[in-house]
Amino acid sequence: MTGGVLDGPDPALRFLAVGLLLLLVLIVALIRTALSYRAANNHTRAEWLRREAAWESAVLGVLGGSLPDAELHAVIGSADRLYFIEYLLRFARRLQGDERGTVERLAAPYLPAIAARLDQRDDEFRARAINTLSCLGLADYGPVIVAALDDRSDLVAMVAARSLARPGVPEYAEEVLRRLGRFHQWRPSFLASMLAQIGLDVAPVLRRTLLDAAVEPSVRAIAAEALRELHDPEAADPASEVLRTSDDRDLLAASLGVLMEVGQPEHLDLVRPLIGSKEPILRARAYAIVARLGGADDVAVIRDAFHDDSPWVVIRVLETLRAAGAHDALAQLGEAS
Amino acid sequence: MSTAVWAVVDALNQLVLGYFLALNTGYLLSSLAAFRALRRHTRRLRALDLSDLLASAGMPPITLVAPAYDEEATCVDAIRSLLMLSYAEFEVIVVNDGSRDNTLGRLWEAFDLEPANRLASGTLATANIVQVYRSRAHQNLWVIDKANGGKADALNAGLNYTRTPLFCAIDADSLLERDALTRIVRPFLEDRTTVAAGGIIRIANGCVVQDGNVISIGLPAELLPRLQVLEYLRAFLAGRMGWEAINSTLIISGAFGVFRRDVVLGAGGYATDTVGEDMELVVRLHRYCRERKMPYRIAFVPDPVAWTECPNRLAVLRRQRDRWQRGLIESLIRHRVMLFNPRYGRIGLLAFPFFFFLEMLGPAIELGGYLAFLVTVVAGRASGAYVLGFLTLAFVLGTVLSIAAVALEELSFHRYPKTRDLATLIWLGVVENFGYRQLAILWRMGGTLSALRRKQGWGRMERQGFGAPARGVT
Repeated sequence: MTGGVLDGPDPALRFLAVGLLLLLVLIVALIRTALSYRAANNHTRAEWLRREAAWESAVLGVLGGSLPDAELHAVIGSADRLYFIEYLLRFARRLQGDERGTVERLAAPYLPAIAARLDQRDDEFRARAINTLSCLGLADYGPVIVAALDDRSDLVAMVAARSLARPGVPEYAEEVLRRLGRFHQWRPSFLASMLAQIGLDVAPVLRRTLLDAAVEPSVRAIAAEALRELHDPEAADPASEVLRTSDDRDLLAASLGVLMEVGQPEHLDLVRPLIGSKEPILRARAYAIVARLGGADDVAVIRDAFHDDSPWVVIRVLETLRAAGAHDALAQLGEAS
Repeated sequence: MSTAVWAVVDALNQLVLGYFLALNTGYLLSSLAAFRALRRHTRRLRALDLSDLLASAGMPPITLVAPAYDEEATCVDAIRSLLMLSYAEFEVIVVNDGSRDNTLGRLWEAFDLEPANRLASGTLATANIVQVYRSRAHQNLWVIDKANGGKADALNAGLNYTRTPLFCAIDADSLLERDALTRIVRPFLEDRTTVAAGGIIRIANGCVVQDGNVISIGLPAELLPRLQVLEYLRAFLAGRMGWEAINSTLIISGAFGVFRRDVVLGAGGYATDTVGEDMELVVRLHRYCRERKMPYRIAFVPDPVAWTECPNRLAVLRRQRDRWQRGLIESLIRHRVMLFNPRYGRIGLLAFPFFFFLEMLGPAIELGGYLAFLVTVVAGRASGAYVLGFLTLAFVLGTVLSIAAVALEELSFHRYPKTRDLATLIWLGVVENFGYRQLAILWRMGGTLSALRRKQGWGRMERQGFGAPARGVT
């Protein structure tokens, strides 16, 4: 042995030995971790099965009116309360009407423990708590959920917004709309759908937002997109007003989207100038509206669409004509092109 | 031997020691970061309530682009599984890349195809399109029959005909889980700057597949696929999740990734002159966005699953690894300007150098090291205790990383329900150190040599077909 790099002196060997020992300990710890996760997962699964078996008939009894609430509450051990809430949550999602109301009533005594979780540091725990409170106790915890719209975590705020944008519950829509700018990272079409799922009751608030020049154009565009999804017939006038007053591309595109759904021939004068826009999305939508609402005089305009630089314009016009059943027009245009 | 030769041997030994320490430190840190990220991810999923998300509108429409080349054994099952996906609005475009077998005929029969017109919206150059077909049975299924041009060319052809804002590139032999699209699209909802997201690939060998769905999960009966199960867990849960934790995803598997169509078209589509078109695209997207100062995110999402058949023969596996290594080298060399370049942020300073020096040059360094090590030992220049210690350390570290991946799987998704499978995976973490890892290094070295010779092509992959008798639950 002559002093090569691998000819380790004793300290190096000792270092190696210690390293090996530590790694061996790490292996044992990791195996233990894997096995204990497995044991915990199996235990959780088994416990859930046991609890579900114990609770299901009682909950069905209460729902069917054959068992008083108190008897069910008596079955729930203090250590099982959070699990019971979790169980009711699953149940509630499948129910509507009176049955849903019964489940919410059953959950009520346990919800303060969930509300207490809103003080936790962990964003995910708070978000989960908001989700539970909104699903099982929106009537009592509405203000708490509205406050969560201003939570420091975007995740919690978004869960709160989705919880409040519930079908048939328009009273929180303005609160959500006011904070919509906070969710600028989220996909606008998702936010629009979230608002639209509230239903037509939310349309007046959305129309006001669309017309409000003090609101960010991106939020107004989302409001327009939601109105389009709702097919709100009264949205056509505010949308055409936007065409008159705004030059924001996304807002204009969203407003054209509204007119594509609910526009009338009288809106065409505001739409036609956008056929000359340099933005393909505006041209495509403007052409589509003209194709849907225009008369015989517009055939030449639509024919121009087929020579547009953007394939999207052509595709959009074709789709519109096809959807309108204008097969003769399509054939004519095809021959002319 | 002369002093100069010994100096070289010693230098090589030192290089290998350094490489060994850097690589394993990187892997350990990655596993640690993945541990934290996975815990957070699973909690976040619960908080977001995925079933609720599934029911909501506003999910962006997606086109699934599945290139197929000689896939007659698996394409029908795979496409059927795609058509059964649980997602609001999606189209499937299968691109038959001039298959020599009866792929098109199988699709024709199974899905009642008819010739159809479809206007291309993209202008990427591709091999000649022979005919576009639409299924009479499934209005959202299209088949593009084209002349052979390679996988990237087929993807570009599909991309040209895509009309949705997002497209999902998948292998025609992969099976997506029903909620895979909903899960993988989540980063695009949460962050509008997301340009790409990749899901996890799991091995279907050993699982029971029925009507294009994996209905029972188990380990394969044969050793070679079993070892690959462990390898995939390590690569995805410890590796890619670790990189995701520091927002530095550099690879999205070609078997399952979702991309923003406009950004991919803007960046020029898939490169047709590399076998690693999936990695090359992701590296290029980083470059494209950074150079244009575009805010962007490329994400890895560990819960959406694509199941794929893995090779069960050494020769096929060797070809696959050879191709992967060639792809890696071609991508990294092509974009070498990113190496240690602060303009590319943590990608240029961290992820790219890691892949460049440790993954790309790894096989050459490791094999050179083995050689130098052997010479040192044979010449009696190393103490026996040291040699034994070093080899044991390498073995134990390898085992630690594999078992860490198994622990991550148990922590997060625990998809293998049998405890016996868990024990087997742990045991495989030990077994793979005796031969399999060394073989993998040799194959990757072969890939390095192939890259130097600029070899091209898909590489033949033999398929048994999902649900073949050899692939029942063990």
